[in-house]
Parts: sequence; C-alpha cells; structure tokens
Amino acid sequence: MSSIEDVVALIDALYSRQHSSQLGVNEIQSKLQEIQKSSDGLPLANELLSNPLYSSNVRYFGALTLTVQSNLESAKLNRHELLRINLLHLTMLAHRYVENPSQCAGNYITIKKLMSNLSLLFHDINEAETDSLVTETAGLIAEWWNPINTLVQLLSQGNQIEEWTHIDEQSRDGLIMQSLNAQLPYQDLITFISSNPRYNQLLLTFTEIIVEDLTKLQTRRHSTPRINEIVHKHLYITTMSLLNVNLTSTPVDQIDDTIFKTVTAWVTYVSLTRSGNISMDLSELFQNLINLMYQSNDDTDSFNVAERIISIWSYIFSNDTTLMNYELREQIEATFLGVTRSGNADVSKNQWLLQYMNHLVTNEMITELKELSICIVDFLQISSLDLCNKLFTKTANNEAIIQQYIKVLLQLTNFPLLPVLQESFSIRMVDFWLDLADSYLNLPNEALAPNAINVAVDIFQQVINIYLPKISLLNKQKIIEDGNDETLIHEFEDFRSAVTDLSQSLWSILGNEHLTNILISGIGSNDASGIVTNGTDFSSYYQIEAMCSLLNKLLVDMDLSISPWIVNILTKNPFFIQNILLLFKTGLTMDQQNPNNGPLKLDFIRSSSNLIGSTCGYFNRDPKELNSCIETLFQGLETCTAKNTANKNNNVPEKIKEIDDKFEVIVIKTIATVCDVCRKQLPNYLVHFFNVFNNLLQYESNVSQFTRGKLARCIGYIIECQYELGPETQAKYIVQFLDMINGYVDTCLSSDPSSITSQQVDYIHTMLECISEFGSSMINNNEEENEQLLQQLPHYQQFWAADPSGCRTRVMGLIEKILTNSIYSTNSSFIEVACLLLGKTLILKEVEPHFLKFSMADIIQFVLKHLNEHNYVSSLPFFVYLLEKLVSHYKDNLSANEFDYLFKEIFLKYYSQYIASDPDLLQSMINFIISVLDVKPSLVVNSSEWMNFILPTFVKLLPSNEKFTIFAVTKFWTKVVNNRKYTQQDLQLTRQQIIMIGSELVYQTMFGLYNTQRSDLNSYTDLLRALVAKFPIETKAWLIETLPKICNNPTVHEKFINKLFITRGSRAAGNVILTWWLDVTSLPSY
Amino acid sequence: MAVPGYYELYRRSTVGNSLVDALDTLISEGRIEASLAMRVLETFDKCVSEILKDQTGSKLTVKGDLDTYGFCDDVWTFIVKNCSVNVEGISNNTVNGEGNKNNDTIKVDKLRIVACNSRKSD
Repeated sequence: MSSIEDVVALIDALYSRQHSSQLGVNEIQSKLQEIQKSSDGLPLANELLSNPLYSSNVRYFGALTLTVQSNLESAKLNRHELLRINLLHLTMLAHRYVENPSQCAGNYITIKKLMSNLSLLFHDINEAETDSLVTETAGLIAEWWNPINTLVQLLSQGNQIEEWTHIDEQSRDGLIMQSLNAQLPYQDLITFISSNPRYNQLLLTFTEIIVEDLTKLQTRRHSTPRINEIVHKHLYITTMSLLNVNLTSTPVDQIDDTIFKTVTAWVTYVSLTRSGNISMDLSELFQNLINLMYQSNDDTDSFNVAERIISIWSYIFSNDTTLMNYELREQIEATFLGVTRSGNADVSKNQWLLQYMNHLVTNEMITELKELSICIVDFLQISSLDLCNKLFTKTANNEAIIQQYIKVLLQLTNFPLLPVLQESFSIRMVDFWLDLADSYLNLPNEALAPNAINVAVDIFQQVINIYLPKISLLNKQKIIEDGNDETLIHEFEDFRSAVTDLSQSLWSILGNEHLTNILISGIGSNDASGIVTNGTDFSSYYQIEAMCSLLNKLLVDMDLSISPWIVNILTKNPFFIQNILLLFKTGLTMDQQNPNNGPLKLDFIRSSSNLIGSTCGYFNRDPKELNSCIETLFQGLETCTAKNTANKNNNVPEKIKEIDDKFEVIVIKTIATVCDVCRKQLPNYLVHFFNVFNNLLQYESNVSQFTRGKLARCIGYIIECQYELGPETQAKYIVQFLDMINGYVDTCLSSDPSSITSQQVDYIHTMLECISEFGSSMINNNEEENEQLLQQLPHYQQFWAADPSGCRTRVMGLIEKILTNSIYSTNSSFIEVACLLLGKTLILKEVEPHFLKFSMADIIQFVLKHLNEHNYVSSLPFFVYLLEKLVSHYKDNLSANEFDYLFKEIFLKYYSQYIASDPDLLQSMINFIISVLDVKPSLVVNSSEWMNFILPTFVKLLPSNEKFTIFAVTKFWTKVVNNRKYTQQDLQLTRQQIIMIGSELVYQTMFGLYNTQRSDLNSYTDLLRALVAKFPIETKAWLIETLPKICNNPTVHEKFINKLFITRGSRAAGNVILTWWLDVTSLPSY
Repeated sequence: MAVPGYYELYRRSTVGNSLVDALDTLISEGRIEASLAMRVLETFDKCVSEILKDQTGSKLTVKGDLDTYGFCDDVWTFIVKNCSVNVEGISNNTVNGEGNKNNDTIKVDKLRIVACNSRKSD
C-alpha cells in the first residue's frame, strides 16, 4: 500500500454500496485487515481520525483500527499510546459534536467506538498484573480510576481543544496524563452537565458503554476482580450522581431514552458483580425511578416513561429481586396491588397503575399489557412463600389484609378480557398459583393453621372456577375469527395445557371431593342432549369440553376398574357418559368446510375421546353404557373413512386432510384403549369387530395402515381374554384372522406385476404388520390373569407346540409368498416386518405358549435362506436383530459349533465384500458378538473364529475413524477383558489370549486414542480402566513399551502411566486420559 | 463476547460434542486460536440455554421407578428405572402425540435426569 490516500480510497470503496474499485469486497477487507494488524495500524488510525476532511466512514475505520490494535498481543506494550490516541480523538470529536451537534452527528458512531476502546483499556489497565516498580520505571499506567472524570477534565478545556492539533505532542500528552486520575468534585460535575445537554448525553453514553463492556468481560458471576472494586470506588459514585440528577431534575416529558439505557446497563452490571465485598446500592436510583414513574401519565408523555421503567422492574424481578430492598418492594407492591401484606405502604398509588392499565387497554396495547403482566406476576412469585405462610400457617395475622390481598390476586387472574388475544394476566398467574399450591403442599402439618385446609380449598376452588371459562374454546374460536393467527392459537393451547397441569397439582389439595367430583357433576348431572346447536354455534358445549379436558388430566392415571368411588359418583351423575358421547358426536357433525371449525372439531373429538379412554375402566364395574360407547366410536371411524374417500375424490386442502388424519388417529387409539381395558366385556362384539376389520382390510378402503394395525390389535385383545374356552377356540379365531389376511394378500399379489403401485406395496406391508400387532396383543402381561391361565397351561403348551390348526405354517407361508415375489423381495422393509414376526415370542419365557412361537430351526432356516436372496446391506441389521433375540432365547440349546456355522454363513462370507467397508454393518456385526458375550460368552470364546478372525480383526478396528465403530469395538474389548458371565474356563482362556495379544491391543487402543476426536475419548476410557483393573502389571509394561511408538513425549507418558494406575473411578480415569490427550495433541481444555 | 453465568453442561450434548470436535480440528489446522474457540463455546452455552428457555414448546413427562436421587451443589440428579418418556409438542403435527402414531411413548430401561437451577448464580 503506497499512501494514506490509497487506504482512504479502499475504505470508501468498502463502505460504498456501488463498488467502483476493481477489487472485490473480500479482497478489500483482507487488505485492510492486514494493515490494521500491522505496525502501521496505530499511525494510520491516528491519521484517519485527525484529518477533519475525511468522511465519517473513514473516521469510524480509524476507531476500528484502534480496536484491532487493542486486541493484539503487542497491545500490552502499546497501552499507553493507545490510551493517549483514543482519549485525544474522543475529546476532539466529542468537543466538535457538542459545538455543532447537527453537523457532526455522523461522528457519534465513531465517538461510541472510541468510548468502547477506552472501556477495554480501562479494564485491561486495572486488571493487568504489573509490578509497581517496573510500571513506574517504564512510565506505564498502573491504574485508571474514572474514565468519566477524565473525559470531563479534558472536555472542560473548551475551545482550547481545537488548538491541540497545533501544540507539540509532549505538551498534549502531559495534558492527557494530568487529567487521567484527576479528582472531580460533585458540584463541578453538575455544573459541567448543566452547561450543555450534549455533555450530559455523552457522559451517560460513556458510562453505559463502559459497564456494558465490563459485563461482557466478566468471566464469572459474582467474582471480584480488581476492576469491580475500582468501579465501586469511583465510576459508580460519579454515575449515580449523574443518573440521580437526571432523574430528579428533568421534566418527565423531556426525559431522554439514553438515561434508561444507562440505568439498564448499570442494573445488569451491578446484579452480575454483587459479592460480599462489593455492594453497589441502587436504592436511591430506584426510589427516583419510582417517583418518576408516578409522574408519567397520559397527558405528560402518554406513559412512555412508565413503560421504560416497568421494563427495568421486569428485568429485576425476573433476574435478581434482592437488588431492590424490602421498603422499595413494598412501595411497588402497594402500587401493583393496592394492598400490601404488611398493611403499611401508601396504597393510593395503585390508582396510578389502574390509570396505566386503562391506558393500555383503551389503546389496545397488548404487548405492553403483556409486559406489565409478566412484571407483576414475576413480582408476586418472589413473595409466594411469604404469602403462603401468612395464609395457611399458625403465624398468620392480619387476616383481613391477607384476604383482601387474595381477592386482588383472584381479580387479577380473572382479568376481564380475552386471554391471549387481549390480556396475559390470567396466563401468567397460572405460574403464581402453581407456586402457591407447591408452597402449601410443602408446609409441615404441624405448622398449618386450624382452618388452613378450608382456606386453601376455598381459594383454589375459586382459581379453578376462574380458569374454566378462560380456557373455553369460545376464546379459541374468537382468536380464530380474529385472523386465525397460528402463533396465537398455539399460545392459547399452551395456556390450556398449563391450566390442566395446574388442575393436576391442585388435585393434591382439593382431592376428588372438591375437584374431580365437581367436574364430573358439571359434565354429567344434566342431560345435554337438549342443547340446541344451529350448526354454527356450539358455544353451549364449550363449558362441557373445558371440564372434560381438565377431568381427563385427573383421571388419566387412575385405575377405575378397581375403584368403588367412580361407580358411586357416576351413579349420582347419570348423564356423564352420555354427555361425553354427545360431545364426541357434536364434534363429528361440525362442518369442517367452515375454516373456523376445523381446530374446534378436533378439540371436541380429542377431549371427549381422551376422557372415554381415561374412564373406560369404569365399564368393567358397570358395562351397561359400553355398548353405546363402542357404537359411537365406530360411528366416528366410519365418518373418518367416508371423509377420507371424499378427500381422495375431491381436491381438499391439505389442512383439512391433516385434521381428518389426526381425527382418525384419535378415534382408533381410543377404540384400542377401550378394547385393551375392557376386553373381558367384549367377547360378544368379536363378530362385529371381525366384520369391521374385514371391511377396512379391503384395498379400496380408505383408512390408514395405523388404523388397520390397531384394529388387528383390538381383535387380539378380545381373543386373548377368552382363554377359559381353551386353545382350540382361540386357534379357530386366529385361523379366521390369518385366512382373512391371506385372502387379501392373494388378491393383491395376483394383480399384474407390471402395474404394481407403491400403495399396493404399502398395503401388503400393512397385512404383515397387522399379524405382528395381532401377535403382540395375544401376549398378556397381566400376572393375575396368568395365574388363572396356569391351570390350563399344560394343555395350551402342548397345543401350540403341535399347532394342529397350522397357524405358524400359515404365517410362514404368507411371509414366504411375499418374500419370494420379485416385486417385494427387493424391499428390505418386508424383511424387517418378517423378522419382527419371527422374533415376536423370543422375549417370552420357555413355558409361555403363543401361536407365533417358531422353533430355532425354523428361524435359522429362514435367515439363511433369505440372507442370500435379498439385499444384504439393507437387510443385515434386521437379521442381526432376530439373531440376537434367538441366541438370547435359545442360548442353552446352541453349541459353539453351531454358533461358528451361523457366524461364518451370516457374517464371514460377506465380510470383505460388504461389511469391512460399511461402518453400520461393522457395528451390527460387533454388536451381535457383544450380545453373545452378554448372554453366553462360552459360545463365542470357544468358537474357532474367535482367534482366527474376531480378535485379530477387532483389534485392528480400534483406531477407526468412525464414531459408531469406535463405540462398538471398545465396548467389545471392554466386555472381553471384563465379563461377569465368564465361566472359570472362559476366564482362563480369555486371560491367556489377552496376555498373548496385550501389547498389540494396548498399542492399537492408545494409537486410536491419540488420533481420535475429543468426543470419542470416553469410549476408550472404559477399555483402559478394564485393562488396568484386570491386568495391572502387564498393562503397565505394555504402555511403557507402546507409548513412545505413538509420540515422543516421555514426561507426559510417564505422568500419565503413574496417574492412571493410582486412579479409581470412571470420571477420574477419564480426566487422566483427557489430560494425556490434551498434552500430546496440544489442544486446549475447554 | 464473553458470556458469564451459563452452564457448560450442553457441551456434552451431541451438538456440543460436534462443535468441540470441529473447533479442535480448526485449532489443529492453525485456522483459529484457542481463545476464539473458548469464546465460541461460551456463546454456545448462552445460546443453547436461552433457546431452550425461550423457543421450545415441548414437554417431557417421565413415569417410572425412582431408583436413586440426590441433591448436591444446587444440582438434582435422579435415576429412573423402567421408565416411559412421553414427549409432547415436538412439532405442530405431533401435538399430544397424535402425529406420532407408533411412538407415543419411549420406553427406557434407565434414565438419568440432571436438573440444574435455571437461574444460575455461582
């Protein structure tokens, strides 16, 4: 770069929108960055900032160059120079700005940058570890107390500043150094800022920038670096004087936003740096803010100042409440609520808040109203424990005041506008009531006042009564009608969800008597069938829906099959089930074409279906309404299929299709829940279920795969519970089920292979999934029922071992028919579902009968046959899944030779062709060996491939680059070294083998560790720990031998070995290994 | 920008581990200084913490046998065995698990919950 003009041209080119320069932006940037970092940086910055003819961009670049120079390693040595240049130019630019604000407004950004540079220097000078003698001798600056005072001293030179460019550097430097730690009396400061409002603005901005930067530079919260002490002694005092004068002497309509920015920056900084030694009290500042807030009103400033102050309170109450002392908080309490817990403070100030709220509501300032609600509720949450004690404990006094207090809180919760759309108080208050309920529940019984329970029940019942209309879908409907804003709808749903969670917490206080029974009675005491809807107005059902939604949350975990309470309460509320079903039916009939109805329809169906699912245990006690329940649900399913058909034929919007899909899932899930819970009541429905299933299985039927699978499960539940009829009857139904599936598969397979669609492939897949679902539902985990089954167990075992009805043959035949079809054999998802079917009963105990209990030979034959015929790479993981289960189940029937055969046929034959180059397959293979080591290690350690292939191959995989391989192979070696399942012979054998290959094993492990990424270090830790624990002497020798081969760092290696062998515990060993890795790789510890 | 007062525990998440590995690579190749990597991680701590607080609408329900619990240094640790984990509201399609047909609930043998105070004040 030849001259300063060239640099200026480049800077102008960089900032101009139309680049006239021949260089690209990146090239310009890199050239300029190079200069900024070079030794020419300082003189360049000085020149760019000195010449008044340059543009403001060029001057800003000059300030930026000083920032770059301040961050260089060499900045320590240039600190004095940097300080001098920054202060000089800040003073000159600030002086020009004050003298001619409109013309020099473009300099303001440069002024702020210079202030930021000085704040960094302020930090560095005061935090530098310097020897005072060295500092003095070298003429370095040891301390800089107060940048504000320095700036005031320099700016006080007035018009002489303009002469600075003409005086010699030494005199100028002396002037700056004199002002550095000069004291500034309070009166001089006030006189200075009064002389020109621009001075005031500059000083406020400077102190704001300093503390903002210091906040960023803090490394730990509440730590006490030296800088904070200096700020406390000097800058804090000056700033508080500045702020308090501004807050008390400026009329509210003339107050500048800068002051609030400065206050916010200081509040954040003080909150962060508070500690035992340093306590920067902000009480006077807060008191002045409170006073100023009261002056803000509609006439003076349209509550603008109030808004800014409320946001400062919000920050304090949500982050660091104790910044504000008790007396000030009491004033805020009186203002916010019009009542205080102590009964002291001036409650008349509440009028101001009511005016402010009125202003926000009248002007529909929803965001500001939300801000206020957050602030007030955060404030309330601070004292919820104290309020709880005053309300419910024996220490309670001033009962009238506390009752008044609660009344205000309930009124605030019941804010008379629409939640989400117009108000947020009710939403935010959910958290408060939750806190209060938690506090109450945590009180020890002996501390409770005699009437505490009654008081709690009274308050929390009112809370529920307030929230029921608040969460009504009527409000959601209004949100939808207002513009269908998705965000607002989600916000409303979150609110509903929070209220249902609250009701669950309140149940612990209110119990069934005061909550569950009331809700049940609300839903079921009157016949709702008389409610008339005109097809568009469903508002009469909204309250029932809201109660259903809360009640579901309370009942979802209760087992109603054994509860006499539910029978009693439902007897008293005879319309309960009927009204829920009515809600469901109303949902069904809602016109979805009306865009406003879609979400509401789904809510109706969801709330009613969920409640049916939660309460259906009741039908085991009293099944008389089960019939209408099942009928209604099937009616719903029928509507779904009709809608799906209509959607398919017409061009229906995606949104409506999505709602219909969800609708179908909700209904079928509820049907499955009812069938699961009430299976004993349903044998008479079996024929009906078969008929429906038969209809839905048809290819043309428009239902999802999920629905078909769930319905297959339902049929399974009903057949499973009829065990007293004997296996022959069950087998008859199972055959009927399988034949039905078989028939549909045959029909589909017989179609022209050239015109097979993806839907047909999915359809065939669903058929197999249906059998899988059906098989799962035939496994009953209910221990109590199994005891009854025990009497018939031998008969069942014999029957299913022989399988005279040929169920397994049918299933296997069906699988073979599909897998041998060329269309389906290429799709690995069919292998997946077939493996799932064959492995279904491998989790069952040997004695438990099941129609899908395939023999070991059947499964092995299946695997070996299809391994060859299908895509090995995509199918292997599914075969491995099946094999792992097989080995685990038949471990006692397998020999090492058989294992060898399986291993050779399934893995070895394909190792070099597929597995070696595919990390996923490698992981599958290693995991299979690990699973065998987990269940019966002798199978694998006595295998001929153990020494021939497994150990030599797996040791070479240790330094792999693949995370999955590393994870699997280190787990394998850890298991080999340390395995509790070993027999004595296994143990001896593996010890000899490890001693033989130990040196290589440790070398590969350490080589892998050396080259691995930090996130994979833990994988090696367990292996090294196992080696150290099981082979301490040998491992030490192996490490001494191998570590120098990996890298030459003997001190680090020695320290590592010494530490590793005296370390106990996984975390400590992990740290030792990490330290070694960091030392040898020279990477930092984060 | 140094960011005080945020937990570093998210660095052990998958995304955190990947970031650390990437930073290690950049340092090894001499493309960045270690101090910059530290700053990046501090910013990561801040961002993850704030995003999890402000922008996640999902809720996790855990049900199982509480095996062990402890409270030390303001950190709760729970080990829950045989538990079902229900994730609600992952996206708009899976509100209440409806979009998530086959996996309403995730079954876990052993779950370790580490719960820290969201208002860190060390």
